[in-house]
Amino acid sequence: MTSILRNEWLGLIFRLIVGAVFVYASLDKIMHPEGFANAVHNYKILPTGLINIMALILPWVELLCGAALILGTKVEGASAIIGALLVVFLVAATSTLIRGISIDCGCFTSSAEGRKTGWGLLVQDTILLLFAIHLLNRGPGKWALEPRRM
Amino acid sequence: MIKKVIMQGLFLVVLAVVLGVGRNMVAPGGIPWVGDWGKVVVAEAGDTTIAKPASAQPDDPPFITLEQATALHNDPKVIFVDARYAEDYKEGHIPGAILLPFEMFDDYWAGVEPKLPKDHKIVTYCGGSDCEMSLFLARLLRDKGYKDIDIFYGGAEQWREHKMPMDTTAAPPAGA
Repeated sequence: MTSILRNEWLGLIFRLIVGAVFVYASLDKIMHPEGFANAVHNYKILPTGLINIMALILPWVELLCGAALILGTKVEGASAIIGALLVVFLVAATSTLIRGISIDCGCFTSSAEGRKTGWGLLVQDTILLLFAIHLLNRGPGKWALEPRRM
Repeated sequence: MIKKVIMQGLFLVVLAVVLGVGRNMVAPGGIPWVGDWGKVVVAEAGDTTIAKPASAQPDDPPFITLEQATALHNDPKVIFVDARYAEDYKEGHIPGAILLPFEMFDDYWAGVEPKLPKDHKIVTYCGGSDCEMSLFLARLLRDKGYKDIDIFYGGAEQWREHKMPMDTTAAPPAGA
């Protein structure tokens, strides 16, 4: 098991998967900040004064971190941020399940036809979180612009 | 290691702030830095104040004042529909209102539809200033073919504030 986890190719695979998901997730939100702001508002978690700022900046954080992972640069910082974001997403999505509200998750698209928060989303975010933790611990692996390490 | 992670993370976040803020300043379709979410917009000249949410669109069903809602409430042909959850409904609703939670529409619709003839006027409401479910429910009912819908956005909150009678009987369960 540990030998698999030490495999340098694993880092590359995880980087590409997590990076692609975050880059893809960011694009529509960057193009449509008002739609994404609505999605954030629907969670009813953030104070209303912070919703628009969050909706403007968060997608760019996702884009930059995702791109950093794909390229293999600043991998530790990017995977730490992505890990923290995933924890926040998990808490937010769980809270909607507990409160019994069904809202658009605002994950990949800002449109109203987007996917709803639900168990599948929790599973997906948990898997991505494990990948991010792996990258934070073991570095970028193969084919990184900025290989490890210390 | 920790310092490296923090420095890299900080770099990415600062760059994201610069790009996000920058794009919003130059790109068309920028949004205000602070949105007025759920803030009650007081419209109309004179003394008639109509509460409506910031997300209201021009083609939405009309919003009505507390006075208009009171007048309609006295008309037995007008049906009030409560878009909140069953718990909120039980805590106090406008007398005679039918429970139809927007968030659980599909569960309730089969039971509620027979009680909502299409030729009656309908008034939707929910909790008041921080609740847009009355608007969402009104849009949904309009799409279902209801022609005459008003939205009482002041909702249960405004109704209670003005010491109007509230009913605390529970609603029948979903679908019944």
